[in-house]
Amino acid sequence: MEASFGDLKKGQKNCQRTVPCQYFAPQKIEEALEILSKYGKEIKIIAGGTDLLVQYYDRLYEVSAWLDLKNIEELKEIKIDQNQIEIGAMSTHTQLESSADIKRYYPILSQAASDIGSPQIRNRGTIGGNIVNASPAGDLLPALIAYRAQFKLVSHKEESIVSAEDFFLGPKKTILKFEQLLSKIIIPIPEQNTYSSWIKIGKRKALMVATVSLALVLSMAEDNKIIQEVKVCLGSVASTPFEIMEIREKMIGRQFKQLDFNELGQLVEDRISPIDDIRGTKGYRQEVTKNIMINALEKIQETWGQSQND
Amino acid sequence: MEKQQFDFIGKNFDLKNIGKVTGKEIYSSDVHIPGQLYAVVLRSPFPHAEIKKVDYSEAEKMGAICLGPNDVPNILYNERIVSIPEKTYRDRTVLPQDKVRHVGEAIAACAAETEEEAFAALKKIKVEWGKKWPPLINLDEAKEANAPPIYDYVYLGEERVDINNNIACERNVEVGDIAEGFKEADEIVERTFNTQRVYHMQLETKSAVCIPEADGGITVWTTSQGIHNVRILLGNIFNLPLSKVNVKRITIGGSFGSSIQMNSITPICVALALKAKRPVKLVSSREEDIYDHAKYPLRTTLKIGAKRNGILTAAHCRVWVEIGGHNIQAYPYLGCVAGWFASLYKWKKLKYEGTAVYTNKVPTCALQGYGNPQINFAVECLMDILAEKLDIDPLELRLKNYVGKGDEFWGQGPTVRSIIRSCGVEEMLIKGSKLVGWEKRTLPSKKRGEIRKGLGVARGFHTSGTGGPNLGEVIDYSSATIKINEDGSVDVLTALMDVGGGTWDAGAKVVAEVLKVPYDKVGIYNGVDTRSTGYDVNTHATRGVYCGCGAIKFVAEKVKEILLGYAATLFKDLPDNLELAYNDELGQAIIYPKGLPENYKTVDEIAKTAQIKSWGTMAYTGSLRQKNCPPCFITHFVEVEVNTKTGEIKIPRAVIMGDSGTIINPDLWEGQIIGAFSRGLGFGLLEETKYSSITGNLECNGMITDLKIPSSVEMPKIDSLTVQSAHTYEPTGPFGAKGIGEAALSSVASAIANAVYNAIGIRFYELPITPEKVLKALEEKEERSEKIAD
Repeated sequence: MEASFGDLKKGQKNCQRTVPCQYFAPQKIEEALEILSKYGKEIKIIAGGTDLLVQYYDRLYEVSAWLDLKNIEELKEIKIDQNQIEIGAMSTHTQLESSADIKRYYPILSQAASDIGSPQIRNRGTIGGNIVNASPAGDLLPALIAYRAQFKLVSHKEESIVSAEDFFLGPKKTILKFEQLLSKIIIPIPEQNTYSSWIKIGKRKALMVATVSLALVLSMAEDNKIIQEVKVCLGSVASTPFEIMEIREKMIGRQFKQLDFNELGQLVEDRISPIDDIRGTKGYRQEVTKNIMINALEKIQETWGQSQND
Repeated sequence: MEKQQFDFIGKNFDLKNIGKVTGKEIYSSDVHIPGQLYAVVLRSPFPHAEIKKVDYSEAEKMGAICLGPNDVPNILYNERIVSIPEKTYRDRTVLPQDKVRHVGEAIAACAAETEEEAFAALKKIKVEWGKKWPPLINLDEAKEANAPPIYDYVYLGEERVDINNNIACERNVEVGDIAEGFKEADEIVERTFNTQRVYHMQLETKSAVCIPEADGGITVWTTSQGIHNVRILLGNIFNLPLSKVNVKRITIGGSFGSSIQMNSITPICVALALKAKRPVKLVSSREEDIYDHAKYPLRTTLKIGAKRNGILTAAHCRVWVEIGGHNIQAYPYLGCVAGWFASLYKWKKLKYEGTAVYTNKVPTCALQGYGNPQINFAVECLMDILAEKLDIDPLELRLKNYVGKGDEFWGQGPTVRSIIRSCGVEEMLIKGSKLVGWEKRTLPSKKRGEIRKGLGVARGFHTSGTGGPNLGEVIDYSSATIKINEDGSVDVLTALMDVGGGTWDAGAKVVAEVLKVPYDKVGIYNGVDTRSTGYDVNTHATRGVYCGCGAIKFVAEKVKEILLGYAATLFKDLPDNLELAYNDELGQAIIYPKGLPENYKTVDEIAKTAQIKSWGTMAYTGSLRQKNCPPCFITHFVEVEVNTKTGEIKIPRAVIMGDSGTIINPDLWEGQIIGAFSRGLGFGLLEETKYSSITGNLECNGMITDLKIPSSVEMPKIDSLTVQSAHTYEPTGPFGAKGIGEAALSSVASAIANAVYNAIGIRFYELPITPEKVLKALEEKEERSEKIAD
């Protein structure tokens, strides 16, 4: 295994491990699941490593076994057919950002991916890692929930499919068991006349964790005037990505042009109870969330307005 | 002054330092000595606590070499020895002997074969703590009568000084009677301004490598802006003659002032190396480095008065600064803040009072300005407020009152006074205002819409060095050794540092210009050390070009004399009858008898001949003390866009005018100005190292995950950033040059704050101006105007 402390420049490998450690980089999922079933809690799964290495930055020696997914090709594929897209959990944010299919059918997933970190981080970070890390501020999570994504969880014994909104339990906590791997993200192809908005607010424009974020996906009926389905999901305002259910009653069945954006913004603000933390105060988050809900609707109005004129 | 034609000065060449661009450059953290041990430092989790005992027996059993309070010399020192000894406060020892005074202060250290083992051993060091005090976090609580004393006494020079109410030092200056001055005023404005602590975020974290030599001496590589001062301090602390202490000059990965002083880890590394009798390497992690140094926060209460026509009559400036757990440079800081304030405008009568207070926080030190950006924020905002009161254009008010050519100027404090001989302030204000479209500026009350645009101006300056006609409280001289090699190329040996501004490139160009040797044959990027160079006080205070290259020029001219002397022998003529010139065609330096250029000899030839005929090396070693510290000026015109729904502030456009006299490196000069703009953006809008008043720890816990500085995306786009220079020439500077480094930062945040006022009609008296503060202020403004409407 490569040592990873500071003095590795100029090809010098100065560090020796004082704790024995196992490292696995299987090429097939089945092998990975075998290893997982044997080691369970004792092994650390590493995808891109952009979250893991930060969390363990001064205690890497505490990890006694590594399961590296980098060689499992089938986890990196993105496959699309007329019903759904299947994104391998090891797909990087750069892949999501640049994939023509994702840009076309799931534009805010691509936008959210492009808002993550920096090009270097996006080249290594993966959609699977972002999901399993389950940060309340996870950039891809609101969009995944808004697009009604499902996650395929596999173990050496069985497979299951869970919907994204059921996956997250709390900050960094999910329903994933120790012997399970998240292998695929499955998203149904959106209806025609689907519009979406993504807004991320942070302390600066790049390389930052969200102070507050919002994903809005709505589909219109065939007449392109009445709202058939809508999902609004926020990040960084609760312990998990937070969907505003109440907004559905206010919007579904209504005509888009009859919506009162201010009222909907206020509804969102009233529904959330964020905390004060190092990235923002409670008061700021509440006020800004209302404003970005309004902005998100305004953005959709622009695109929808154009389609009315066609 | 006529524009001189130079062969090398003012031209852009390919960057000399290929190492930096290709990653081959060696920094202190890259130095690798076979057999070296890796050192790590145990840092205090408490803000103010008595150390009863440090027990590292378990760590030693693991094979680590350990350092506790009893293993270091009990010498009290100040890590910055730029000021004369009588004016230097001393409160630090290599490791604290009695108690820790801030979270993150080093308590003990250990070294082992591998970094991993060192970290594991560190965990076994046990500290027995005695009394613990609640942290003193804010300035006001720290100076209260019943606040726990952080120090009972310290030393000033050789004298013991009692510390009362945690007041570290004070400084007062008066010029004339301000009561009279305010009587003459038709309009008086007074406000209190606050700027915050930020972290330097210099790229290279503080590091050191030390080899204990066989003769008991030491060789040290360390992050430093002044290797000679590090040498003197180490010699003093470890009781070694300087001839046995060698500090290497090594490229530093940026500094912003955080290595003017010897860094706290350097003597720890040396002590470990001497104990272990093996080389030791100590590299700070970013998370440790944040606990090592920070920018001075400043509270300024400023009152200024002017006549109806805008002419200033008086100013009263009261500043408070909390300096953390150690006094690194607070006394000269207070003097400099007085100087920055006094030398911006002709106040006529002024009173300045400054007080520095100890707190249980990270010790503060200079950050690109040494108080200048902090006090500039107060002055430049208040000038705008005064302008509004007087109904005078902010530019006009500044033009009427600025300290400029022919005026007495004491930027470095009251003991360093000189006359300004070059000044582009007027040119920059007028030209800059045209470039930015100042006349199109509208009042805040006229702005509409969710996104409000505003235009603001602020001007600043910094001294080029700390020199003055009379010797003052500050040591300021540089040395250089220059020799012409046997093939005509040149070696320049100087302890001058390059902290990223192009100082070495400038030095090479100065030598090339004097000796006419092509720029790429002047070697300045070389491995010198304290042994092979004369004393250089430090590369700080924007003195690299004006003082450092001033000394280089002085020495180069002496070498020129020697060269002409040798040439005269060859030509069988007198040196005065010869001409030294750069020949473009040949790409070489040539010497010829005046009037007969065709009879030239190349300098290469002359050098070779001198060697073959055993005449001797053409070399000179000398020092120069500049008797002046001329101001380099800056003016910032900034356009902001305030999003009234999210509070976010964008900067779409800026025009920046600079005055550095002759500009030696045009590309790097512009780079300094643009880089400083980014730092000022962070200072004005984003950065702050906040503390918990309960634990005394940084809120970010040392992690920069939540301690952001602006990314490149925050900057205006390249086409929207105009940088131009004034047309000036400084007669006392090398080829007419002054500095720019700290001037470039001085007025950025001030201009942004003035622009924000122009955008939304709200004054911010506290930095950083965050989206939270903007939204809150907008809400309050709405509530107030609703109340008025009711």
